[in-house]
Amino acid sequence: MIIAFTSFKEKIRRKELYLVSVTGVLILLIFGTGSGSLTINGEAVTDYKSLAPILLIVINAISCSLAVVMNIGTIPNEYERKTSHLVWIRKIPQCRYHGELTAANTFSGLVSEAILFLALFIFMISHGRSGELWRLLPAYLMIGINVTIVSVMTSAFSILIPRLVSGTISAAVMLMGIFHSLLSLLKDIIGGFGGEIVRYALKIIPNLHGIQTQAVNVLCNKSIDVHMILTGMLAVYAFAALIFVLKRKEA
Amino acid sequence: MKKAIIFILIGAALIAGVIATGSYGLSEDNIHIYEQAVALEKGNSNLGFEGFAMTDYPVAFYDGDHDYVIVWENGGYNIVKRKAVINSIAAAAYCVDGHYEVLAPAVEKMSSLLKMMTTGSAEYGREECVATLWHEAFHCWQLTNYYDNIEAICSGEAEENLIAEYADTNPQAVALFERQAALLENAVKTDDIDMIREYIAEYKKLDEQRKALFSGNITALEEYYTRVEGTACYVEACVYQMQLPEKFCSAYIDHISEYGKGSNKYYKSGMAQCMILDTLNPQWKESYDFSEPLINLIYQELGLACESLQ
Repeated sequence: MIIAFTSFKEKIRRKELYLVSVTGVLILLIFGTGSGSLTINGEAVTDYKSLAPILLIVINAISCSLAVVMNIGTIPNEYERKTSHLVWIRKIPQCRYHGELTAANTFSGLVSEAILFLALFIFMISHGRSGELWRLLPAYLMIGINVTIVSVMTSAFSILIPRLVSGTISAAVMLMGIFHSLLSLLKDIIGGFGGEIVRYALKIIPNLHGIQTQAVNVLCNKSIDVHMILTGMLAVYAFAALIFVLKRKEA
Repeated sequence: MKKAIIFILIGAALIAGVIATGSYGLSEDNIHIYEQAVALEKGNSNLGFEGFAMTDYPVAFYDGDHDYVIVWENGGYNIVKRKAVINSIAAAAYCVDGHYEVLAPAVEKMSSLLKMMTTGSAEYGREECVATLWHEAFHCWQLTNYYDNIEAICSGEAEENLIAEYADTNPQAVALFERQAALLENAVKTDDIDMIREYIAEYKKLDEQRKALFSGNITALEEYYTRVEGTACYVEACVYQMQLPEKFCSAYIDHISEYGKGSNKYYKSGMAQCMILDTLNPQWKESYDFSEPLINLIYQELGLACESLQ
């Protein structure tokens, strides 16, 4: 795990990670503590059960976006800088190398998510929910599944596909995953050929929204759908398998 | 090798977990909705429409991928899964293999659609879903038994965009319709026949003025929606009232006079006309065959002279 550890240290030294995370925390705090006004249909949203899902949606979106940004260039950069050769001469297999770089990025993403969860922590205390702070842990782990899916997927794509294309595909898949439920309804409304395309796309795109909903359910004391979480973990597994299988020719 | 085996075992465990926790087939909620709809039929037979039975028509719940068709046979029901007929969230009476079926979105699907469209302010629960099944089953009955009469109301496709293009953009027509709808709402809310006569006489005058504003096509289209959808909406309202009497007025009666763009306003005015007929002559629907405008029946009941509106 020395590669992962070194890469992780390098990642968490990057200012961008903290800049985005802290900005995210500030935005979340502005809305979560009532300093800002969030309105739906002209009515201010201030209660816990309405605001908590919104905050989690924002945390999920920022964390997943950061995961794409952090993973998009890591593996290609290693090959461009020829640092990969330093690894090959030590007889380290490519799958382990890619796996450890991805793991480092995923941990960085989880650190960023943890920073964003600070806002949720403060939000819960400010809404008198100190006794329910333990709920943050399962919610964090569930959003963490989404971060891991996006991280591993982006890294897997970046092994073989050029950076711009893999980044675009990853961002598109991430957005479709976040809007999975919306798209699922849309395909039923539009119907026809377009609807069929969306239908088949949704079958292979991880349902990030579904997992995020389970995190919301934990925070709001509702029952969770274990199937959705296991499906998310299976998506992590499938992309991880790709990381181990895909190989670059330059090596 | 050992690591590979562990990796494969983890995958196998995850796949097994996903399969074991998945839900397959039609959800219990939808089955309960169907059973609730059938139970209402047993208690209230046909709501007064001779020959109408909700259970005569298969109900296909669309879950986003497939239709689950429930067919009532010999005092029980069978559920068959099939490829979705229209692959769309829509409640409709649809001709499948030569017979009409009720197509309805699964309650979970419809509920999430409404939540999305209304940011959570609208509810679509069991009672609404049961009422929708009856609404569409009534269309199945209309189309099975009175297809020619319905076709005669409005030749060709009922193009809703004509309503938006002509009826909704004419300020005079909108103002007249609003006054007419208010009169209908007042008439629905009273049992006093003299008051109803007064409201309807005024309605008739306004109706003549309004019809003079449009071509025959628009008038026929409006009449189509009023007669065909209005009666189905009336059935839906009756079913809703049986389930949630305390919410009935706020859900169906209090909004009759509200003007909305599109065809929905004719659903409400048609429903109101059915309710007025119930007050004047509860037997009106026993032999109703959709060949006559509902308002004409009201004029006849009240002794108000009328010219043909067809």
